[in-house]
Amino acid sequence: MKKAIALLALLAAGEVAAKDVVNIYSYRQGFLIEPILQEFTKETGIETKVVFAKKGLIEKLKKEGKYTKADMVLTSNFSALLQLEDEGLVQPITSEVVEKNVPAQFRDDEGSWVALTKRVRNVYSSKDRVGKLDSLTYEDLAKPEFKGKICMRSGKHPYNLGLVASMIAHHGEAEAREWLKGLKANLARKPQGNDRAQVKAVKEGLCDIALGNSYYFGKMLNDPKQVPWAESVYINFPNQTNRGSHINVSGAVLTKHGKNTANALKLIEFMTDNKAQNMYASVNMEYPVKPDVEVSELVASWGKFKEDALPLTKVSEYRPLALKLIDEVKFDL
Amino acid sequence: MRFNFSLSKWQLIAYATGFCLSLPLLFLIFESFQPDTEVFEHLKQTVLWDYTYNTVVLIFGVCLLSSIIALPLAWLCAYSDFPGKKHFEWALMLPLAMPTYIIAYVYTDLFDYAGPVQSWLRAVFGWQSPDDYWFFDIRTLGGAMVMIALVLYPYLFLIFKTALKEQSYKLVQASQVMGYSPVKSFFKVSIPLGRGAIAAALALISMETMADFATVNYFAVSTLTTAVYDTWLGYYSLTAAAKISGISLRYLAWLLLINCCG
Repeated sequence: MKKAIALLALLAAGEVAAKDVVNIYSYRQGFLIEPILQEFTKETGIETKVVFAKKGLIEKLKKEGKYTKADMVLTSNFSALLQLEDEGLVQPITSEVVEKNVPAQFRDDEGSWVALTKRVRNVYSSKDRVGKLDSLTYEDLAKPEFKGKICMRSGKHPYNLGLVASMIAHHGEAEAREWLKGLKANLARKPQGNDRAQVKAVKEGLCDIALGNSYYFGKMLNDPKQVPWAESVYINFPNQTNRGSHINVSGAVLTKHGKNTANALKLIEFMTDNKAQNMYASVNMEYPVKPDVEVSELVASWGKFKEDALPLTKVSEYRPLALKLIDEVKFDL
Repeated sequence: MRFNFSLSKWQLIAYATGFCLSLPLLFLIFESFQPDTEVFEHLKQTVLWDYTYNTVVLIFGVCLLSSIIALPLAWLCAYSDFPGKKHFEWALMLPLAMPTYIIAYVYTDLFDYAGPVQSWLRAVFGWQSPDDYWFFDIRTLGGAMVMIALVLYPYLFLIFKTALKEQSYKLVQASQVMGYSPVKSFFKVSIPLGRGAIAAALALISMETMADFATVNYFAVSTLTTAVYDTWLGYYSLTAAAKISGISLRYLAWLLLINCCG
C-alpha cells in the first residue's frame, strides 16, 4: 500500500512538473520574445521552451499532427495566423482577459487567433532628394513620376503580400494588377534584401523611396551602424488623406494538440497585458494592440496616424490572389 | 553455392541501404503525382519558364566558366613546371572548402555601390550618383555564375588533372614532335582524351549548381530551386513544389544519360 501511495505521489509530482511548462513555436525572434518569456516565468513559475525559426514551423506542426509538442505558435504576420486557422491547427482562445485587453478587430470572433502587436507598412523617403511625403498614397507609388526611384524587398514577402492583398480588397483585381505593373516599372532595382536594406539603398543614393515596416525605423536608430541610414530618410504614413495606412499584426494561436493548453493560455493573457505590451512597444518599437498602452517615446515622435480600417480577415482572403498577381506581373524577376 | 547465402545477405543489405537512400526521391515522385493542377498550372503560365531559363543559363554559365578556369590550370599543373607548382596544385583545390554564399557575401560587400571599390572609384573620379557611371551589378544571374564557378571549378580541376596524369604523356610529346604547338596539342590531344573525365566533372558541377539555394536567393535570382521553396511556403502547395523538383530531377536524369552515353 505504501508503495502504491509512493508511486501515486511520484506520478502526481511528474504531473505537476509537466504542467509547469509551455512549449512554443516562434516565428518571432529571440531578442524580442526572450525578455517577455523571462518576465512570464518570474511571475508565474511556468517554464517556457521555444523553437525559433524564420520559416517552416507551420509545416512542421502540420506534419507532427497530434504528436506535436507545441502548445502555441507566435507568428510575425497575419497571414500565418490565418494559415494556422485554415489548416485546422488551432483551438479557441477563450479568455476574458484577452477579450478585455484586445479590441474585437484584432482577434478572431471564435478565438482562433489573437493579435499581439501592430505595425505599419510605411514609405521612407530621402530627406535630400524627395523630402517628406505627407499626402502620399500607396497608389501614387505606381505613378510615372517615381520611375526608377523605388526600392523594396521581394513582392512575395508576407509584408508586401499583405499590402498587395489590401490593394486588391480596396480596388479589385484588375486595378491592383495595373498598380503592381506600375510599381514594378518604378523599381530602381530587382526586389532584393530585407526592409532595412532598402533604406540603406536610399542612403547610398540607389533609390529615393523605400517600403518598410514602421519598427525598422526605430531599430535602425538604435543600431550605431544603421543610424546614418535612418537619418537619411523621413518616415511617411501613406493614405492619410483617405483610408489610412496599411497595417499588419503579429499574433498567437493555441495549437489544437497542445498538452499544456492552460499554461499557454496564461502566457497569451500575459502577452496581451500591460507589462508585455509595454515591452513589445519599447523593445521592438511596435504598436501595442491594447489601446491604453503607450507606444515608446521614439515611436510616438513619428506622429499619430490613421489606420486602414479594412478587417484583416478581408485582407487575408486576397492573399492567394496577391501571390498570383505578383507572379503574373513577374514582380521579382 | 557456398557463397550464395552470404551474397544474398549482402545484396539484401545493399538493397535496403539503396531503398533508404532513395526514400526522399520516391516520396518526391509520389508527391508530384498528387492532383494539384491549379497552382502548378498558374506557375506554368506565369513564371515557370523564367525559373527554368535562369536555371539552365546558370548551369551552362557555371560549366563554361569552370572549364575556362580549370582546364588550362589542370593542364599546366599536370604537364609543365613552374615556380610554386607544388603549392598551386593543392591551393587551387581550396575554393571547394568555401561555401558559395560566403564568397557571394564578400564579393557583394566589395563591389556594392557602398563597397570599397565603388567608393574609391567615386572618390577618384568625382562621380556623385549611380547615374554618373556604369559599374557591373554583382547581384545578378551573371554574378551568381561567377560566384558558383569560383567555388566549384576545383571538381573539374582535380578530375581533369588526374586524367591528364594518367594519360600517356607520350601522346602529347608525339603531337608536339609532329609540329603541334603546346596550345594546339592541349585542344587536339589532351582535351579529347580527357573528355570522359571532363563530362563527369561537369555533371557534378551542374548538379551542385542546380542544388544551390543560398547564393541565388541572396542574389535574388529565381531558379527552380528557389521556386520549390517559394511554392511550398508561399502557395502552401507541397505537390506543386514537388512537381517543380520533378523538373529539376528530369534535367539531372538527362545530364547523367548524356554522361553515360557520351
